[in-house]
Amino acid sequence: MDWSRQGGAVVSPARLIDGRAARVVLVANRTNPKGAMIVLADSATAQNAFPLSSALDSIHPNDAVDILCMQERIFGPTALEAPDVP
Amino acid sequence: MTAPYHTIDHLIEDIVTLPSLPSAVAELNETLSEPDCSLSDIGEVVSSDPAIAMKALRLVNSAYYGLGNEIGSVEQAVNLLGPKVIKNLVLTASVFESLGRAAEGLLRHSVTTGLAMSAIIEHGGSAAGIDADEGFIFGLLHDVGIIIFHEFLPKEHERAVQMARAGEKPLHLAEIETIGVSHADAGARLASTWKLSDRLANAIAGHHDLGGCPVTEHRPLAAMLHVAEYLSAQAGFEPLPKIVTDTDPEIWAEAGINSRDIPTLLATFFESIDDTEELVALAA
Repeated sequence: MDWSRQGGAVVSPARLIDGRAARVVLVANRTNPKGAMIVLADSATAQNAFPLSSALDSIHPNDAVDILCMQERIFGPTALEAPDVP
Repeated sequence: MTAPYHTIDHLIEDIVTLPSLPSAVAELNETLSEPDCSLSDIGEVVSSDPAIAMKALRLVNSAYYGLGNEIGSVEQAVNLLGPKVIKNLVLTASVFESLGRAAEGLLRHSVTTGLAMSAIIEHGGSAAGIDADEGFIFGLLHDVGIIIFHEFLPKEHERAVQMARAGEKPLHLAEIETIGVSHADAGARLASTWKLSDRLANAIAGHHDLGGCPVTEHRPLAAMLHVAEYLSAQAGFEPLPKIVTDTDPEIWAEAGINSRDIPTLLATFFESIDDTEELVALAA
């Protein structure tokens, strides 16, 4: 995935299993149900934004790991090294 | 380009001297295979190697084991934990003893891959026939072939690393081009030489390419080991600086893991990360 910072959020474009384009938006750690959101790219309305936990069936395992590890490294309480995100 | 060495046998016979596993492991296996072995026999074998006994005690008192009460002697550990746990404990302590020559980054990657493998086994991977403690050993040893290459073929391995960093091909394929065999092949051979289980050797052999795992029923373990390595790398513990660990999409199905499993599996892994430095220190 191709992560970048936008204000306090960390975002990346993503491709869902069914081929739809989306954006992943990370704003808080994993204890916050809305800390990682999937936003469908065709219409960025509230109806097209889902918490990661309810969109897992649409996401490839590689991407799920990438998203959750990035969330932990940026916002998590564990001693993981934060990556350089432009 | 012709590889300078064509087979793992040539490499092992002519180039590399494989490190030996502390004799306490072989002696313990022998003792445990005797039908009338007693707990005091087991304690005696472990105590016969003071370095391993001390490491085993440090390990059993670490946060990773999380027993709460401090265990002060080998005899106490044997009585409290039983033969199977002691066997894993001694093997883990011995592996740490043998990994002491590894670069710190690779050691951290190996420990965290072990923690990730334990988490995978804990969350549904037990069907593969191993428990979480054994899974930790799988992760700890999966890249031992890299340590062998660093020691005996440093220039050739550095060429492979440069190829992988340049994105020309994954590290294990670059090793095959520059050395003739991959670190997975070399690690599997070491595990066999140490008389560790076939499933461990086969899982190491197939952890980058399932086709390298010679026994079909061991492929799920090889796939889980690959996933564990991926989790470690994504958490920031790459095996070597700037080496990307990719995953083959088919690996997940073979490992029996889907996206729904990943949050709980990763939560367990993240919660164990704090044990890393204490475990890394055991190799020193």
